[in-house]
Amino acid sequence: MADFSDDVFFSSIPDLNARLKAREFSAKELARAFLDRLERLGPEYNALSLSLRKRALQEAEDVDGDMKRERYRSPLQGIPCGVKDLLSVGGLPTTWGAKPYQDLVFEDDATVVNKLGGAGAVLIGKLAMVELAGGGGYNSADASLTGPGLNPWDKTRWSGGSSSGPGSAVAAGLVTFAVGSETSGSILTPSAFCGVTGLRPTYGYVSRHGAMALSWTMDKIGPMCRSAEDCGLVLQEISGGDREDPGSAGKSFYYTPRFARKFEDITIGFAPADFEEWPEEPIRPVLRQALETLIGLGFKVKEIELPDLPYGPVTGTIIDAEGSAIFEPLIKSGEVDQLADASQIAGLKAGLEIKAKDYLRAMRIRRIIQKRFRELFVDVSLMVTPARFGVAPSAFESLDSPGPERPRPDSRGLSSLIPAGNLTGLPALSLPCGFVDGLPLGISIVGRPFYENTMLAVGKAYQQRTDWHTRRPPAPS
Amino acid sequence: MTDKLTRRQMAVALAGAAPAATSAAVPAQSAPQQDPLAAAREQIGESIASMEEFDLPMSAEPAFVFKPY
Repeated sequence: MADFSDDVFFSSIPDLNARLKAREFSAKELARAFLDRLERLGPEYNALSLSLRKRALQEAEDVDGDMKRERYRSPLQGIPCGVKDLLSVGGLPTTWGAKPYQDLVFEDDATVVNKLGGAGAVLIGKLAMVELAGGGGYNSADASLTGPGLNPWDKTRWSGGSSSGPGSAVAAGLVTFAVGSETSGSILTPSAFCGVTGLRPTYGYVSRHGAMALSWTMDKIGPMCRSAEDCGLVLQEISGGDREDPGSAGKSFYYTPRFARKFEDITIGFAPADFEEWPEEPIRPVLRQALETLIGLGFKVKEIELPDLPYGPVTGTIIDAEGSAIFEPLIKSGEVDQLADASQIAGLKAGLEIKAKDYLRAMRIRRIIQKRFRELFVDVSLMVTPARFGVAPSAFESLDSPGPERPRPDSRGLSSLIPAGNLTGLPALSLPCGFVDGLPLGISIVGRPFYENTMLAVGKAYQQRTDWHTRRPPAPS
Repeated sequence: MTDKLTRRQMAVALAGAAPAATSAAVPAQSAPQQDPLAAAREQIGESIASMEEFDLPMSAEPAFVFKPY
């Protein structure tokens, strides 16, 4: 029986895959080691929704059989992974992080789960999430069936959400990679707060079939990993057209960083206010350094600002209307009152009252926002901004607690890029970029639709010059 | 003279306009001790009011497309 050091639990996908091919250990031994770790430590961070031990060990045994015959499927072969508990695994509970659905079981696997299996990845667990992916709006970290997502860097802090389990599980080395989702911030936020690399793909790149829907027009499924390279390898396997998903873009992604655009041909847009005024003061030096390191890779730069458009009201109206329509049976039956967060319950109920004319108005303004973003991308190919303007907040206070007072920034910069980028279906990559008081920070890169290959090449280059993504949280006591 | 911002006000400003829910990332902006349902309705009302102020050309179509197959 192989003896696994901590290095294994924090290895990259290519490193681990190479060691499996070299027969340093079997896929079954590796899966067992990760399962033991996930089952032991997952509850410390409220990261685990369900261990998939029996299924995982069978998958791992199949991988060992394939590897013995040198039947190599993909770089993910034999790699232990987890998925956010809104992706169905056939025959087993898929709880959506919510009490009313704790016994929900689907017959079939989600398309993404199928694709991971086809690639030879070993799915070891369903990972915790904010209930219903935060559908109605929530103001406590406790808005989850599994309790507040706790940050491996400091367990008094929130892991971020709604992909809370994927964020903390990857950060703590409980899985090599995870698949999360984002409607408006749910990959980028836990990635930044937990110090992992998260990719929100272009809308439609990854099938939503078999994933809980919160917003038909804004939900995106994406990888959360220990590096940009790993994100590229995962996206390659989980992307692709799917007739079962009406929003599918019908495109596959191929991770080929050497064919990315030359950096000297790329213009990056950024807003000084995003690094000098919007963030909390103690984190500004770290973010400035991250921006300098990125620009130092050879890009042209241009100062830009988002057009003055109502991103927040449009995003909120669309998510509230679509989400409440999706969960109408839950709301009308009264079972919505079983949710953990009072704001969430209220938001879902109120969302049902949104009139069609108001939803349509939001969708029409959205079309204009898309046009304005196309105009922005004439001058720049990428936008760079801090992934979040602060470190992870306390997991045990209201997320709505007043913070330190500070002057109102004069410029809006790119500060609304999370709602705006999600409204327009743009890809975003969050990269760990430093620490303040032991808590991670992230910098995010947003690109045009289907620009992931170049974005990941930028991320890879940034991570060749920095080591923030290799840092490990304190060992749990 | 510059205004000072609390963290809640900063989060609201990050959503791009008057108070609005950007669910699944930024928590709902509820007034302290207000009934949550009233607060949610107020927030939605503010979003709608904000969108009504936006000068929307008649020709603007919604950002979804029906395909006949």
